[in-house]
Amino acid sequence: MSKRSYLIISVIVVLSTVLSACATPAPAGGAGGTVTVVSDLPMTGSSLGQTQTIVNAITQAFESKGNKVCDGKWTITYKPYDDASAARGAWDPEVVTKNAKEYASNTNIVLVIGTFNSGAAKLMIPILNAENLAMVSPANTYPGLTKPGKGEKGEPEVYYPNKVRNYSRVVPADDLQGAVGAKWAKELGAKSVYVLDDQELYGKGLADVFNKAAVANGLTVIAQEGIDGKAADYKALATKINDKKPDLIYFGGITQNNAGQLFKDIRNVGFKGMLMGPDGIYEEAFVKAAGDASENVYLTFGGLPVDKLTGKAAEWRDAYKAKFKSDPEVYAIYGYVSAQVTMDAFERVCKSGKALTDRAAVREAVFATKDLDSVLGKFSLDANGDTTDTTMSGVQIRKGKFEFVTLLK
Amino acid sequence: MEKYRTAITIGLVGAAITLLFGGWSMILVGTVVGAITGLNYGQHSAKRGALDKAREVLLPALIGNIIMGLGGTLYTFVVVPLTGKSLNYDQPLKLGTGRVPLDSIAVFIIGLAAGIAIGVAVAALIAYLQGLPENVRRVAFIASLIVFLFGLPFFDQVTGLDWIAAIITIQIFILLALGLNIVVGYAGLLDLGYAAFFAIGAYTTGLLSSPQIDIYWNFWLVIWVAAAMAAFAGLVLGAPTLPLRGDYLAIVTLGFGEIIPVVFRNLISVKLVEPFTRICFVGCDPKVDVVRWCIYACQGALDLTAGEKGINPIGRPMIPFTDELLFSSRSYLPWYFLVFGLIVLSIFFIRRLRNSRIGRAWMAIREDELAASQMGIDPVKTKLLAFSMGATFSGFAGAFYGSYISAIFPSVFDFSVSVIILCMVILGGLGNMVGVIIGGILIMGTDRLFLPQIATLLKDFMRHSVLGNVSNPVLKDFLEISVDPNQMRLAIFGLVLVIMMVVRPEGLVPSEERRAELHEGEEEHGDAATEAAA
Amino acid sequence: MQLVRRFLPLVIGIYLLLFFGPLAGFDFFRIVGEIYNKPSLLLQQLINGLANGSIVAIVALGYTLVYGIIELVNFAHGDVFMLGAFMALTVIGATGVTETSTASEKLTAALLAGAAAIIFCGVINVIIERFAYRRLRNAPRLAPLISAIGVSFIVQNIGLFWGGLRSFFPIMGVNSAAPKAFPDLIGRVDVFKDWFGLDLPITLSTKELMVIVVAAALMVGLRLLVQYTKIGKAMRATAENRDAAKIMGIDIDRVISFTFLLGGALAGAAGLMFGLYNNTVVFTMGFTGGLRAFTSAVLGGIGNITGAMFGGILIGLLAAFSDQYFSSRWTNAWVFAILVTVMVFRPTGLMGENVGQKA
Repeated sequence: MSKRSYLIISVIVVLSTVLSACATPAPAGGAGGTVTVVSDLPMTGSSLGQTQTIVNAITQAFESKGNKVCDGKWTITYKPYDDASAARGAWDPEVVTKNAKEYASNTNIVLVIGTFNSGAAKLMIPILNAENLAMVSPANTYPGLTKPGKGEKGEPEVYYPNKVRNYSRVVPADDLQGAVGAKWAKELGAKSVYVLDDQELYGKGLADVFNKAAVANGLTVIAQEGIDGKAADYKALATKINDKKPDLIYFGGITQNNAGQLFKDIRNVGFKGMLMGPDGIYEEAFVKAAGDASENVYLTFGGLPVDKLTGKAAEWRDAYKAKFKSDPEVYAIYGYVSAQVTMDAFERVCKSGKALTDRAAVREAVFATKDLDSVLGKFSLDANGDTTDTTMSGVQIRKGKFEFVTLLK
Repeated sequence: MEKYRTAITIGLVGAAITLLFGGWSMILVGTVVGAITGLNYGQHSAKRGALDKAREVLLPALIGNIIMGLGGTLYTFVVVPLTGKSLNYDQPLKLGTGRVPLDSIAVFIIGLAAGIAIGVAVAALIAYLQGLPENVRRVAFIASLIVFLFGLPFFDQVTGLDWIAAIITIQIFILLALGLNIVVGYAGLLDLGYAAFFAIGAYTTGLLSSPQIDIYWNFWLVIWVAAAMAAFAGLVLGAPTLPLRGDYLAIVTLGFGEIIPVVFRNLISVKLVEPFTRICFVGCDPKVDVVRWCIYACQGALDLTAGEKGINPIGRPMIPFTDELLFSSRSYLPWYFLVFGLIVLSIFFIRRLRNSRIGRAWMAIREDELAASQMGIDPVKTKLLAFSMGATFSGFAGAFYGSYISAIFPSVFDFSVSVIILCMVILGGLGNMVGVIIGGILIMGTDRLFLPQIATLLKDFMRHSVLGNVSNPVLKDFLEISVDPNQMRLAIFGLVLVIMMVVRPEGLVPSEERRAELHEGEEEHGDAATEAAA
Repeated sequence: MQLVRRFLPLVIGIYLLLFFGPLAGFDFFRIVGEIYNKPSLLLQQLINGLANGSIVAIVALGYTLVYGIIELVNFAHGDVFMLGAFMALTVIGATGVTETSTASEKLTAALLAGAAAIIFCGVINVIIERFAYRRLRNAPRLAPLISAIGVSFIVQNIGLFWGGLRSFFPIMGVNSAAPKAFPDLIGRVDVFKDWFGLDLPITLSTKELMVIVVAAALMVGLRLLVQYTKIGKAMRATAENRDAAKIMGIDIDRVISFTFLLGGALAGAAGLMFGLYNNTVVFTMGFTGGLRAFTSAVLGGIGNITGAMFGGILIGLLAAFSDQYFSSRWTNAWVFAILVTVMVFRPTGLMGENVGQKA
């Protein structure tokens, strides 16, 4: 009974729609039309401060061209997706999978800017790989996503079932950052280091690389420990470390995992040595949270600091500030560059006479990015999808401001 | 008016949903509204004949569904313009590979008409079934439910409603809630660390079908191993809790729930040496370590769980005897039916368990442990079985989850997951499977479907209709940054929990015994509590 | 035979610890060696643990107080404690006092912040009770628990919202979810060295001294209040038997409201203490801190005021010891493993039987 009524109704629905609306054909060839670019970032919970500025920068990039490419023939619709859930307050594997499936099946989506978390990328890449859908990440730094031999065994091939790369990133991977950090530590005169991490993919991966590179550079690594990012304080751990008297303490992790409290407690127990951290704590929020303890902290990060930016980058920063009334966080510029990579690839697809809805063509164009004149300077993407721009800066916090110290090689 | 109050209430709930989703959702919501109305009126109707019942329900069902339709109308003509969508944006109907483009007015008209028509028809059907003899009614009722559940994913796919991912998540959590219901609902043991068993199931699957330690077993085998491992863990973790009661039990289970993720996060360089004989079981390098001999993984410490990096990728189910990958990462349907099958299987098993000797023993222990043990029920055995049976089903859920997501991370299994599952069980109705399922749908549906949609709509509304009209920069900054609907999801979720509990403290569908207990008297309960404290 | 049966579980336990312990950083001989080589470090960690435990204990007092009277695990208590810290931060931000202000200014600001936090949290807690718990007083036992979890979510979200009010309170910083810096009004003065001129290998800072003293004072004050005042007597009577107390002319609603007011006030005080001691507050601190506090309340025997204090300090000590001698990665697991062990041998907590103390 119910089944029959269902059948009848669905037949009626189908018939009426087929009869009433005649199908309009999708725009074909290079004639133009609309394509959708999405970003996949965690917009619920603690990462919002960073991700919001990335979304702003992407919007800004597309709007600067009036959301048009190929001489106005194609319109870009930009849609930010959230890959976090309220229940977790951070990226959620289920939401990432759901989003990925949605991008895969929605043929109008031709490029994904994301993800923010390397763990999320691990899930998303294989799904989009099967669909030839290109990804440009503004923030993933886990080396194993692209670089053979730098991650676990089997990486990165396990992420590319199609045997063709579809994932690229415009940030340098951690194997660079951790290594230059260790080298810098030696140059700063450290002999012994104590390595801490926040037990997450980004932080621990970075700390592991730093640890190895420090040993290779002849430094003594006293120990590596993980902190609980939700603990109220770290005085006990700080007391233990202070007793070992390292010259430098390296923390691999992000501000959200209580980096401020950690640095405060390390200073509180009377530690007088040097402190170093990665770009995960290179943000206003860290200085605010750590207060005086952030003073003299050394930071490493890919690219040039925002206020050291000259030329285009400085113009970009000013335009951003004028538009959004706030300072961009460290990853915002990568959001902007991702959008630039996207538009550059689109232009080349058009030139080759293909439609932007051709995912394979877009993917190829992204990987063929060469000497792109971005706000970060000229760079290309290599066969692994990694950026050739491996500028690393060393920064120190002085009087609450990030002061550029040196270029790291 | 009194007569239609229930129908109006049901219709209003439906309207709240269609107000958010509009269009196609009206057909789905109409069906559900119709079914609930039919069930409710059919049961309470004074008439005995099946046709009479059906006839009687027609008017209330029509009223309920028209109210439901009002939500969709508001969506189309108020929400859509306010959030800046164009009224004739495309909502295509997907038929196979083809697409039939429809503008939202057409979708609205079809949805409204079909929703009301189907809703009334379903209501009549369900009411009709209520009037049939018991055995026929049961079969017919289950048959129509199955037709609905089988049709659901196809309907979802054709209309592009895109609820299926959320529905699969809901199903996973229903499976978990059914398992927890055994422990909390039947045996009365408050468990705050149920996610631990979920994690054990998932990690068993992860280890046995991934490159992590190079074992690639078939999913259909692994899922049973995972369930068995979870059951075993239930026994092991249940044993120390035997002398404990009430909140003391709760805190110990919470402790296990906290320990297990830490263990999985940190088993990244495993080396096990027997302290006296120096026999190494796992992960020694005979060249470096001073050990007698080494049994497994003798190239140095073993990375068992990959820590926060997680185990990735995890194998997917194959169709037996073929190499075809039906369960691909892109498709939803096979996963939907797989977890659907698991739930049906679980319901079947749990029903049998509940009505068996063991099930009665659980309830006896729940009511009065002392009296039960005097009657010859072994409390140790009974409680351990409850823990282990409850854990079994989370083992299924864990295996499915690992394979579905194809990766697992320790942080997925933290305290908040245990709390959410517990909320489902209590909110739905402790000890009642129908209640637990409804609780699961409500809570996960709120989290995965309604809250994101509310947030999206509010955000669009702010951007399109409010922010442009605000000139004061401080106020604008405040509205833009602080009144971020995404950030209010947790509060709305909490509000839903509080309101539901205050309105229906015994749960939405309480079990018969619970309902009886609740009205029996409170002093008894108070006495038991003072006794426990003494 | 009796002897064997008695000691067999102990022997097996020790064996398993030696077997599996090294996985989690437990290496008996290394630890003994480290303690022997540098006993002062152990003492220093005892001080750390005591101070941390004291903060946990103040929050735990609130849990135990409410549990004692209506047998509800008030999950929202931890989040109210977070609101207290936010209130204190907001008030201090409004007074404009910073690290460089004079001592009297700092004291005034701290007192103001404390008063505001205590009143605010007390009132909030009473409102919560009125709307989320009162109707559920005769409901099944687990219903108020879920209601409490719901309130906890709401309050946590209020904290997130509050943290985002940068347009009104500049002290909240740019990002709503980020940890906020709480001005350091106490400073770090070493009590042994700077007050008494002793040159010891360990330090006890004024901050640590403050939290330990305040926690002890609050506990003693609470016990006196429950034991000797009229309202305390009414609270005990209500806890003992609600119906009988009602017959005796005790206004149950008022007594319960007062209990929540008291619990909220404690949470407010704890919030201020936390801010002054750790100098960082974040909206999730209530949830995670609440979990530890709830655990210690149960560990001490829930409903027992001294027990809560004792449990809190024990957990603080354990965490510090584990950070120093085991491995900080495993600290959470060790804390809960020892909790489980204690509960197995004392199923009603460390001081659970002491019904006379039940407030």
